[in-house]
Amino acid sequence: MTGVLSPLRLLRALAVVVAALVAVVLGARVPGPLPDLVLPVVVAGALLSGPSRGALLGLGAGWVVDLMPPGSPVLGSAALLYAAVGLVAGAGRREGEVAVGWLALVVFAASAVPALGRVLLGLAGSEPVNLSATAVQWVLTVGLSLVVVPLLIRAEHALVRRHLA
Amino acid sequence: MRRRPSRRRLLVALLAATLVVVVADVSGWSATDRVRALGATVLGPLERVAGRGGGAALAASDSRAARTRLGYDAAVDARTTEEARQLRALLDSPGATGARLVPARVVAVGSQGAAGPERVTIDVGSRDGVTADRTVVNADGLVGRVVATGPWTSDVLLVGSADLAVGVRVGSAGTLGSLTGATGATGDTGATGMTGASGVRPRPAGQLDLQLVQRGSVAVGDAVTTMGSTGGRPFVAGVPVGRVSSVDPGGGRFAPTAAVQPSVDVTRLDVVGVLLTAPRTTPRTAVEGTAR
Repeated sequence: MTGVLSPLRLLRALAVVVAALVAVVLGARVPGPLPDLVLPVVVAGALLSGPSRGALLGLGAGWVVDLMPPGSPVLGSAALLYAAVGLVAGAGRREGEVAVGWLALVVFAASAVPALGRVLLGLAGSEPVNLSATAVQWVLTVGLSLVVVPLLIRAEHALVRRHLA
Repeated sequence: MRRRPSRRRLLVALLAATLVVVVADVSGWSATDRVRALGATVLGPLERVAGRGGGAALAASDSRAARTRLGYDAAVDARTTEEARQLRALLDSPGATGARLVPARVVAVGSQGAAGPERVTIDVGSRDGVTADRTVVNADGLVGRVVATGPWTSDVLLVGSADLAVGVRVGSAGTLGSLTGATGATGDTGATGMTGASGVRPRPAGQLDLQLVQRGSVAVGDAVTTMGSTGGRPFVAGVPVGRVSSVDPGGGRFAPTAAVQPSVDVTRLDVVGVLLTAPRTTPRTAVEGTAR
């Protein structure tokens, strides 16, 4: 796990880039709200590695989201939001197996961060806030994360075990 | 355990640096454009590959096929046929008559704002002659303007985004107005002395705010077209933007305000065109005055 270019970190970075890419490409094909695809990757990584590493992972993932064309309206805003996501999810780290109820709570709290953040930013800029669309996206993100995060955690465990073996 | 404080220090330093970038971008420092361009150079080609296949009809428009209005083979697959149909509609639309334009497809759509998407990426860039501040149209009318270009992709700010303001002409009289993305219930009613129930109501999603800048009347159904900028940048003149859908009750305002339904559905964009020159207007011959 040491070293900047450990295989685990490279795989996480790859997962973030693919998720961010698929999100914008799907956005061009699917009208209507889509779940946040980057958030599950950040939550899974942060749940395994704690708040400060989680925040670093979230910051990096947010920068990928910010720079992936067409980019965020404000450069760096997604980086700050996802850093907060990593911080919240990392605070939920527990030793041993992650219980489903605990996972649901962490996912719920972590995905609330970007949703609330966007609403507050919209209100601050006196733009109209589409609460129903935000809520639908939040529900979709929570649903997707509940499926994907356990899979990612299992994959990371398997990778670490094989690496140590 | 010795590593923990240094990691926190790194995190705090990176967060501070990000915060600096946010503040720099909000205050309009141009160095952040270079950061965006870097992202577009590295990640743009990925999007072009991962985005839609297709593009055959648009590539063909470069050659003789465009001049024969795409005499296109019927044996091509449905996607290319649909692409060719949209391109033909774009070339036949009044906004493109006589204009030189670069056909493009939308390959990526950014995060949704309150009124739908605000930024999209198209698959043409500076290598195709596209530069910043060009008008982007489709068959229905104004889509937005180019705000950033990479070598292979460009980013477009869409109509309906809060950051996009368009100078427009309204109705047959051509009254001048300014069109922006809808502001919320907290719109700038204070400065014009409007209070209480006669304040601006929040718009339905996707509608635009029209504020006339000269005295004149506006009626439901009036056509709204771009006024045009010097040199056609960022907006060429005469591109349809939408129609007035409701007029706000006036009270103490210098000029009326209204809601405009945009003619382009920004949630379903596919083939668009980047205008390099303005549409050609009908030439007029000079006449001689007659004295009696």
